[in-house]
Amino acid sequence: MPENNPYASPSSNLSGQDSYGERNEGVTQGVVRELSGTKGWTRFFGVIAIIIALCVLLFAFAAQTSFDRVMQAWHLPFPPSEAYTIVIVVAVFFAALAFLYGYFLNGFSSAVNKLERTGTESDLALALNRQRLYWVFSGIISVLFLLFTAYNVISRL
Amino acid sequence: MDNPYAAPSSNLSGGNSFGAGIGVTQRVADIMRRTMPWARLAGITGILHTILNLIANLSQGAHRSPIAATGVAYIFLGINFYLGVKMLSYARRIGILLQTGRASDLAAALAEHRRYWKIWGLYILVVFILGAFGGVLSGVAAAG
Repeated sequence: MPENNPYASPSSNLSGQDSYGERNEGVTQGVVRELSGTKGWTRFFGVIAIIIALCVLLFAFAAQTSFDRVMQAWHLPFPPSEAYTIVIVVAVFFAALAFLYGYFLNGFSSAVNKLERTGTESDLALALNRQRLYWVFSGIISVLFLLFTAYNVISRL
Repeated sequence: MDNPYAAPSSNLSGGNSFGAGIGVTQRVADIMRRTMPWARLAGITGILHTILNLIANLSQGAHRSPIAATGVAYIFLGINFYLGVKMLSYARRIGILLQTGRASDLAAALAEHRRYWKIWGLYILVVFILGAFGGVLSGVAAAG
C-alpha cells in the first residue's frame, strides 16, 4: 500500500475532476460529500443517546427518595428495596444501551471529521468500519427487541 | 469518469487497487462486504417491527381511539416502514458496489445511508416538537 508523501506539494480540486486529492485510492469528492452529509445527523443522534443515558441514570437514582412510598401504595409481594434494585438494574441496562449507541455514532462522526481533513483511504476505511460496528450493534439489539415485541403481540392475541 | 472501453481487471497481482479507473480499495470493499448483511438485517427487522406494531394496534382496537391519534400512529408506522426499505436499498447498493468496485457506486450506497439518517433525524425532530407542543397544551389545559 503506497504511503502518503509528507514532502509532496499540496493539492486541491482546481481541475474539477472527481479526484479528492493526491494518492487518494478511491476517496472521491462524492464519497466524502455523502459522508459529510451523514455526519451531522449521526452526531445529533449520538448526543441525544448520551443525554438519554444520563437522564435514565439520574431519574433511577433520584427516584430512591420517593420509591418506598410508591411501592407501599402498590402492595407488591416483595419489599420495596428489592423492587428498587430491579429498577436500578433495568435503568443501568438501558442507560448502557443508549450510551453504546451514542458512542458508536459519535465515533463514526469523528472519523468522518478526520476524513474530511485528510482525504486518505485509511481514514475512509476507519469511518466505514465505525459505521459497520454501529450496524452490527444495532442489528443485534434490534433482533432482541423484535423477539420481545413479537412475544408481547402474540401473547395478547 | 471511468473509461467504458477499458479492459476488465481483477486483483490477480494482489495489489491494493480493487479495479480499473477510480475504484475503491480492497480494504474498503471488504468493510462494505461485512456491513451489507447487517444493513439488510436492520432493514428486515425494521419492516417486521412495523408489521408487528400494526397488528398490535389493530388487535387493541385502534379504531376506538380518536381519529387524529390513529392517523398520527399510522403515519409514524409508515415512516418506520420506509426507513426499513431505505436500509434494504442501502444493502442492495452495497451489493452493486461489490460487483463493480467503482467509487461512484460507493458514493451511491452512502447516499442511501445519508437519506436514511436524514429521514430518521427529521422524524425524531417532529416527534420532539409534537411532544413539546402536547406538553404545553396539556399544561395550559390543566392551568385553565
